Amino acid sequence: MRFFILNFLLIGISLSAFSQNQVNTLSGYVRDSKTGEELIGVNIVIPTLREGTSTNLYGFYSLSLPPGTYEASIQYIGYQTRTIKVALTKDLTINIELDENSTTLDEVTVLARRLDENVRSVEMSVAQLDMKDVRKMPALLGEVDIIRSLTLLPGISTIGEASNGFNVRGGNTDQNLILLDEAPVYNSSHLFGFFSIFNADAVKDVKLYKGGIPARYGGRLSSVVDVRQRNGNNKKFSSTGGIGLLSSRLLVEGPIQKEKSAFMIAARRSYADLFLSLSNDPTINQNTLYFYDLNAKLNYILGDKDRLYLSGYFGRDVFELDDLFGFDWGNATASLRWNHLFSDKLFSNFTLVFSDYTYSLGTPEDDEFNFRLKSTIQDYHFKNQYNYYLSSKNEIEFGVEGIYYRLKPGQITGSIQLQLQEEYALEPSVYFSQELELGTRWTVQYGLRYSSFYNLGAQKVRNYANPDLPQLEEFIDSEEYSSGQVIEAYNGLEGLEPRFSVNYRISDEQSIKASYNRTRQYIHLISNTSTPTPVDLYRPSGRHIQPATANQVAAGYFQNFAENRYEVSIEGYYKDFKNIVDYRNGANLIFNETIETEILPGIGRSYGLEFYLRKRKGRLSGWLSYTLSKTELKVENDDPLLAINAGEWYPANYDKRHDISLVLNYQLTKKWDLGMNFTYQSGRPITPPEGRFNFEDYSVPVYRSRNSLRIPDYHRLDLSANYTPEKDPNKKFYSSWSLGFYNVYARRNAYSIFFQQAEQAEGATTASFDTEAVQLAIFGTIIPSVTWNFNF
Amino acid sequence: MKKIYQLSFTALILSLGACTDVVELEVPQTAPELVITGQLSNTDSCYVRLSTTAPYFSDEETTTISGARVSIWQGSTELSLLTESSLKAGYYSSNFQGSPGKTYHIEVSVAGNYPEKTLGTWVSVLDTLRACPTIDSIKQATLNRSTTPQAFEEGEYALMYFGDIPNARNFYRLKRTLNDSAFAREIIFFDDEGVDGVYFGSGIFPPISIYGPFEEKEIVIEPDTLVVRLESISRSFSDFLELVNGQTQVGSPFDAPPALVVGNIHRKGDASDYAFGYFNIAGTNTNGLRFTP
Repeated sequence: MRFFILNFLLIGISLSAFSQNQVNTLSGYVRDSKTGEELIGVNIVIPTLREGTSTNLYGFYSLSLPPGTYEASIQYIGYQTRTIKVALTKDLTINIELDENSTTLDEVTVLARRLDENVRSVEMSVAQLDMKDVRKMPALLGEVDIIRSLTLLPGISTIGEASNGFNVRGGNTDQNLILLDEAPVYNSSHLFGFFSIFNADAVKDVKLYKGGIPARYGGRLSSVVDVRQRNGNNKKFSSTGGIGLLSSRLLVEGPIQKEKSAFMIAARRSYADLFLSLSNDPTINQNTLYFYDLNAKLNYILGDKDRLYLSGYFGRDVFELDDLFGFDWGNATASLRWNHLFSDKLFSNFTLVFSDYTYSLGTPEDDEFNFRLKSTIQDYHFKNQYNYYLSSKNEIEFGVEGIYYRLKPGQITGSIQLQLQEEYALEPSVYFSQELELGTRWTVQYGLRYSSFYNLGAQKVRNYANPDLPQLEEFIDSEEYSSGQVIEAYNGLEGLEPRFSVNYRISDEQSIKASYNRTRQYIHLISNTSTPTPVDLYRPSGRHIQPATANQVAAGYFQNFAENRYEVSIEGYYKDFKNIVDYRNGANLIFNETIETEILPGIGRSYGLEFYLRKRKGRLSGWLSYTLSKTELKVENDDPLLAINAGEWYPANYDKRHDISLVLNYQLTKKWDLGMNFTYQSGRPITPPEGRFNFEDYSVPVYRSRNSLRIPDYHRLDLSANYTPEKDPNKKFYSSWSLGFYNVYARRNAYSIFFQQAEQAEGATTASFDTEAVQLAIFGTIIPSVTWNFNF
Repeated sequence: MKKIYQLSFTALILSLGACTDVVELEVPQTAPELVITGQLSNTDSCYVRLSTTAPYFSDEETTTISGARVSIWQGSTELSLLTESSLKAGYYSSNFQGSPGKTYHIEVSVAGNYPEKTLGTWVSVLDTLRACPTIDSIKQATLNRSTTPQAFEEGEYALMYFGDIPNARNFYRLKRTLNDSAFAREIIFFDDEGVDGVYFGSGIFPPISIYGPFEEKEIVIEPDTLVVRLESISRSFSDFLELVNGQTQVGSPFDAPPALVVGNIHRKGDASDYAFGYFNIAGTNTNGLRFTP
């Protein structure tokens, strides 16, 4: 294996050697002139050479060119283009500051990227949002929501309004690697999926990879969402915040040492429980339900070559049933990163990450008979990545990563003492990739990631006659493993994850791209509800759960029109999944110490077409997206009670054939802009009963064909209006208003249809077995909102 | 636990204007299949009911099956032949009672003019009749939020005192009748995980509140009588009850997905060809309380 990787690396470097002559390197950071915030994805172009590069995730760039004098154009949408003259007679470090554009009615820009980036870049299947865009979009209860906004892009969907997580190109919700400043986040939702955990004020950049996933990312099958928090203003103190119907928020940032170090701290607290008290139902109006979260970041410029970042997140959802019962859950993350420049061409990043997801529920401690159940998953990460900028056309990236997992599936304390076994695992990986421009038309990015996985003791492992399909009645014995002892190792060739992307530029405005990626996933969400709940568990691959694998191929055509004012793309993809987790009929997943006996391995496939049209400049901006897709699963078994749908393909419960989104923003005047979202989706599958039988006084449905019926199609219109008064240069404080209307025509969109026995008629003396189908709509009415935003 | 989650979710969505509507849907129909339910205990007559499945939205009664041969077996010995009631078609019974520690099964042979899938000989999985702990007493007590946080309403409650049988994993079902009427659509079951051998009603473990508060009637002609029956059931029946509960108590996104509810009956010689329903073999014990206003 080591030989293989070494060869791969050497091939990459030797390829690059052909393009090496005498060169000097221009490098540095690009920052916002007002805040000192590093800017991601800024283009540095030398027009005379038709060469350029862009800043990385830390705002660093490196451009190697033959000696000479050049004019470099620094371009970033939303900022004024800057041109600098560079006499490149030796290696130069130039840090560049860009001024933000002042908005004019004719040149409203909506994307913080180079305008033709979508055509030029080798990246495909990437969904990217500008935070300025997100803030202008209509939002449920005025709460700016990054994840909800992403689902308006092609290939990304949810099963409905109240859903934890999202689905990307046929992937389950646990197949998304969600990173907040490189720390994985296990639950990206607040309040049962109504809102995302990301406070938009604290977020600088969001990028979602649906395919063509770079080799530096691993551990999940379907997507990567890379969220970067703001570093903090290192020039002056400032504050931003808002008061809405659902929550209030405040962000404060400023220099610790001017232009050397800065902090950012942001907090949100919801007050949804105020609505609960309006209910007449005493089982509802005595409840408490709210969330809060805290984002914080410190960064220090230690010198020309070193920079340190320390960031964290802490969020909790809290539900209290009067003073009887309490339930809380949430994520906590911490990331320590050190950027170091070994040379003008070699950028490195060392990262240490801690991530924790915990839920806890129980009765008050002073109850005579009290209990508390707690479940936790913790990760400890180490990453070391290098970017080597051989030339403007040749960049190499390589690194190592190690993740140590500690899973505590359940511990009950109080009057009753119970504990499920803790589980431990190690996931080391190494990766390499190279992006190469070949001539003027071709760009390739190829890479290889190798991941392995070790399920570790201390643990008592149960053995069954068939370890791949454990059954309680086939239990043989238990095997004791000591601390750190390897229980199961996955370190063979199946851990190779090749990644490949290619871009052929037909012209400056058109390109064709293709990609292939193989991904592996070693931890699995154990959940058999329509949407995951906060009490669901993750379990590592081990003796009874195999690692899951996915292969995806994608191809697309990209074109810009009218000087990049319009962007259009069409992408097709095919993806297959192996060893995905499914469940036996009626599986019991709660506090089950033999959970392996409830799990069935399955396979899956998903394919689709994604169309995207975007208008990026002008008073009217926005996009239209359309996804045509099909996602199916298959669980075969000789035992007809274990095979699902007799071992035939069946639609995943998040499969939606058609998904259309229209997002528009219109700058009415300098002060007013209007927003609109319209969404149409095919109904998702449900399982209909094919009969019923009587058991005692119950009418029990007979379900055989999983997901063979669909709920009605979903469509919804949302509107918003934002009022932003002109800033008075003499005043530090300024504010704006956002009005929103969610579900404007009050459609009762079906979230699900369930089948139940009708209520017994009052006074009835004999049992009634009558049945009915009931449609549940999460929002049965229009939801208005108003938010006051302020800055000072 | 997910019920707690559902409650909090329900609280939230109701505050946001969620709604439910009864809708008309066409669902597929499959041919009628056999349904066998029944019970053998150490205290009551043994009975078996035979019927068929029905279309899901059918308002008609399910078809009963008469003329079948139904018998209780211990190993290869037939112990008792059940006879069909002349008043209730498809209801078979015998005075036979089981003994704790013994293993039994039933055998049902269906013939005649019935749907094809119901015909043939069917058996239940072998099961052992478990001893059931005695309900030592059921006492009346006044509870309120200060004495018992779970007592939302202050009033008179019925408390059950009993001890779990130690050193064994036990599964229980509780059935309640008030004034000879069983509570409608009620499945109460629990197990002794974490409380093995515990006596409910001494030390830190309080007695189990099984009913309350009793209704304070203005004119009491006949005081309420509560009867509680504790059944010591198999894990398999406990799983079955949980499945029935899960498939009939629905309505939130966090419900378990629809699942086929299959019990312990299959065609003789072919365990993969199942009939619906469950034949429960359980040790039982009963106690009661007459409410004192």
